[in-house]
Amino acid sequence: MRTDQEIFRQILKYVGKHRKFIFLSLFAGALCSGCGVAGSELLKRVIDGLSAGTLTDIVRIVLMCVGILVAGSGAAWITRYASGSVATKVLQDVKDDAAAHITGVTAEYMAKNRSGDILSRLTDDVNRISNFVQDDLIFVMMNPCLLFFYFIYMLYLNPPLFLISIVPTLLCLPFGASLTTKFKAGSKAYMQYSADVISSSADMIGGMEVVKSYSLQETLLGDYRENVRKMTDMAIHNDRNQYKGRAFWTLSGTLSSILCLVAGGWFCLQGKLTIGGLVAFFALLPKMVEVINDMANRIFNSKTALAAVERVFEILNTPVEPTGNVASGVKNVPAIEFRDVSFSYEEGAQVLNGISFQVPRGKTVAVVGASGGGKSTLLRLLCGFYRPQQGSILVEGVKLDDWNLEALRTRFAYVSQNAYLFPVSVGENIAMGKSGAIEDEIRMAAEAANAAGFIGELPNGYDTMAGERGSRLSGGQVQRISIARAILKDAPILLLDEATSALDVQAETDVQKALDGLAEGRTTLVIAHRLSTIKNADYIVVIDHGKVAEIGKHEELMEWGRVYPKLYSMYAG
Amino acid sequence: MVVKMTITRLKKYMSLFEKSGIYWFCLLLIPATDVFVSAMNALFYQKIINAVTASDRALFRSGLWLAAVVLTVSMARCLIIYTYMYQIRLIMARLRLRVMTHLFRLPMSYFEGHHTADSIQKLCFNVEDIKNSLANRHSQVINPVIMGVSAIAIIMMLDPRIGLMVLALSVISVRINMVLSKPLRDMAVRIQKLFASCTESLTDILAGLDVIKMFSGARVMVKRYSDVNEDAAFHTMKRFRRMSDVQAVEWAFGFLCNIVILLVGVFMSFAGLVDFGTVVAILSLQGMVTFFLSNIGRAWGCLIDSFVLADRVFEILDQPVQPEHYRDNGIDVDSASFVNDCGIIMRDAAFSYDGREKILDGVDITVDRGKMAALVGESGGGKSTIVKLLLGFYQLNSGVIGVLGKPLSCHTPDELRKNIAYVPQDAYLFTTSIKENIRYGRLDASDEEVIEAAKRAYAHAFIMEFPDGYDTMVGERGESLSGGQRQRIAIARAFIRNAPILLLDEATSALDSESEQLVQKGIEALMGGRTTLVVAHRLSTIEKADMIYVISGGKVCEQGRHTELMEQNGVYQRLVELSGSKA
Repeated sequence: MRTDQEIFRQILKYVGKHRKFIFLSLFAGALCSGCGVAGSELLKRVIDGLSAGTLTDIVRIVLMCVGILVAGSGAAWITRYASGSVATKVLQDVKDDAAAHITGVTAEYMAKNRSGDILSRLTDDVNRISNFVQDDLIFVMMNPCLLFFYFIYMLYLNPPLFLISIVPTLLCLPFGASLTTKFKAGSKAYMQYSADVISSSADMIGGMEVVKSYSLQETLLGDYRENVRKMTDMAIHNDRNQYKGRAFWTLSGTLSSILCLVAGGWFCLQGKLTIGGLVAFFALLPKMVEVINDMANRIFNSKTALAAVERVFEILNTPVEPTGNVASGVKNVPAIEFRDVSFSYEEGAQVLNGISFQVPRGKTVAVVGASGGGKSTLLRLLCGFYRPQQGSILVEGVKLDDWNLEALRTRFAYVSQNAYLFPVSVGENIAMGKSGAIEDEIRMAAEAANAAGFIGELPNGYDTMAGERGSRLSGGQVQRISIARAILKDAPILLLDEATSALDVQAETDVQKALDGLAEGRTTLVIAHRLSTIKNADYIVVIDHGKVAEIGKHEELMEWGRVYPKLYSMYAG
Repeated sequence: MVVKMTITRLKKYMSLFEKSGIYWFCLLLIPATDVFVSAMNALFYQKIINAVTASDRALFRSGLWLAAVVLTVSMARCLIIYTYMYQIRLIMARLRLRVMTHLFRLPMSYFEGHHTADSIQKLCFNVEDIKNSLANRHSQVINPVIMGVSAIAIIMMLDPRIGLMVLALSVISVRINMVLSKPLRDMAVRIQKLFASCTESLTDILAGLDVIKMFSGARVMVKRYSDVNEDAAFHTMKRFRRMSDVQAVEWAFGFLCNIVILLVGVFMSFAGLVDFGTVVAILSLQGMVTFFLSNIGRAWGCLIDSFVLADRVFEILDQPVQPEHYRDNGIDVDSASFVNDCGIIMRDAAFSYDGREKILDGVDITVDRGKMAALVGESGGGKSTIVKLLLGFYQLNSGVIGVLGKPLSCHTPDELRKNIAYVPQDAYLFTTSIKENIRYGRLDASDEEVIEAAKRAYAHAFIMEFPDGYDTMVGERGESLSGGQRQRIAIARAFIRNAPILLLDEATSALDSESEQLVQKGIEALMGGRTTLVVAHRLSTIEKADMIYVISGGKVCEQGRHTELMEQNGVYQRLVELSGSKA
């Protein structure tokens, strides 16, 4: 739990980058209030001058009016523009930072938080930051400036009247403040809950095929109705606190104008105040009360906004993946070595339990074992997505913790079970394998991945867009594009995860050809399901219940293996 | 044309407020209260100032009563605002439900054609924008109008000469404001769109996070995001510049109005044309006129904004819902020879998603009751489309589909699907407990039935290994379970459905051998006695099929039993040979 001050400091860090606009808007704000005071003073002089019969220079009054007019509208322009600039720039910076940050956040964080929730923080809440800066922060800074001029002028007109007018406002402050605290807690809970509702809606919309085929509409709608009802109740409860607080502010505003006029009128009757002074004072009073009330409202709003800000900054403050500073490996050691590695995603459910094995350079090692046995986890650990709780992993002789993460990942070509394509063109998807890849390289990679043929047949060739989650391409095609991407990366170690499944027969043959091209001459660690892969491997590591049960070549394991022959019969079955 | 569009728009917009008379009542009551308070205030000022100038203490005391009224009504106003907000919350709750209800009724083609994030954006964020319209934009239109008009009226009653001047200034101010505010609307739409594409771009980044980590070249996606972001910022700034123009002009007019009324009023009072208290009273109401002036120009933009934002939600609500009945494609239901034993029948079926490229082109398939047929063929050949058509997600362009002896046109979608248990390729699980996920197959199933289904789907054992058993929560998109586990849960869901027809789409893929055996066993149990159509990849499944349809290029190119097809030396034989390495 972070304090408001900390959140505030972080916001100020962003705002500080554009402080010239802040200063500009503060200056303009002060000018605005100066113009207000000047208007009042003008009023006083005209009234008092007329009643004393000393008013002569009409031209001067007109000139003053023109001066105030020009200065005031100029200041109004600058105030708006400067505050808008800061808000826009801060929004842009926060969004950029958040997107950049999220790409370095640990897999644990992503697994724990629903992507709908993260999305709502980075779209909905982040906009509230900009509103906060534009509407609240700037005015919270500017309003004291405004008040300063008003206070001085009103004190100059009549100090007792000033005190009488401002006391009720000040008395109401603590009541409003205590309700504000309640309101803040409520709005945070409300926002968290509505993020949950968004997530569960995303869930329903994403699974619409199942929803429809099982006629689940009514049930899920019932759940949604319940969620909305709870959301509404929370909002209403929150509103109640907000408007209770507002009642105090209304009270203060109304009381002060009444007291001002009653007391001021009394002073006039006693000859302690001129009628011009009373009118000038009274003309300025609503402006002052407005500023005070405005501040109060902004404090209310800023509390909501602060809750939103907190939610965005929570993402910006999540720890990123740890990284070391070794950027290259050692020669003449095994490419990969697992030393007594234990790992669990959550406490109590051990996935890997003391795994040790090596992958020598240039060799192909196949991992086999029952599903859910943690085979894919091995690859995720290697890529640095997760860190083992015990033991260590060495890549090219360097411990994973010591590797610079970015350098480490350049060592691997990782072909996962679920190939992901971005919704950009096929060519661009392949080009991601290598920064600044030229067209010829992309074509050669596609060729090597056995993908050039079907890409050529696509309506726009390499410029064809891959749809959402690659939906317009078949599974095998998506896989081959992702393999082309891996080929283009040209990394020395190939990590392969069940890449040939989920395909029909023809596609599988195509993909297999592509993979053979990719594996050539590289150190390969493969989570294998195909008999041919297993048979061609230099070693087979059999994982059983999170432990290495046996290691050997296919023939050896068939001969003396304990677990392997049983697995093999299933593969072959 | 423009007018007509506006009227339909307005009608649609008003549909948000069914049964919400209190909302409108409060919306009007709030500014009315403000006017009343201000009028009482003005009278109070008039009395006090006149009492001061005339040194009349009795008049001074009578003014105090007005002060009491002002105070009481001001406090009551807070309560009205709360009621108003309460109504908004209710309207929002109704709208949320309405949009969600409509989403559920949309045909599958909508979801395949729209990014999920787009629907979420509309369901959640644009709906939230409508809330802002209700809470702020409407009152920004109504309040200045009511308050401005009544303030001018009262000023006119207090002194018509000053009143006319106020009015003249108002008109000029409003004109200038409208001209300046005009481009703001288009700018807002453009910025909204840029923000939406920011959201989409971010969704892609989140979905492809692993790829971005592993391929430094994929950072390009982050760059793309920040480019859109910068573009959005650029346009926002442009809009602010224009808003600043408006602001400056408003200030100038507000001041001009203030000073002119003031000076004229003061001179008139000293000329004895009006009493000084009246001038101050007018001065107090002048604030409302300024408010009117500075907001009426923006009000139009606000009103337009709220329409624009509502339109984004109406983009969903305007989508035609899935029809209650399927087209019969001109085929006479009575004369169509649907034999009663036919579980599934497709005759001369043609279909295309976009009306141009034919996915199916004259497909004939028959699955007798209780039999199992397999669809094989290369990917993209139209096998999955056949399954989607049978589920009633799409309608045939020509030809006819019959299920359980009745053509599709005799079923409603729900009736049709009640007879079908569907196991999709990607076993989609919802973010709820395993038990609920299975129960979604048949909502009135008891816990015992859920467990029984899980046992038959070979899922019971692994479920019991979880600390919470059947109450274990499935993570987002079921990611905390392995592929085989998810599929077995999906099979259990199909089991509990206990439907006469089973549709399976490549359900046995993406698994390792041990899981696959369990899944296969589960599926075999599930098939028992049901009319089954499988999009098949496994030779073992295909061999058991009563009939195999080889689909290629949207047509059935070969059909028959495994042994028959093997003898034909055609497409099928080649497919089997290719898969030989696997079997």
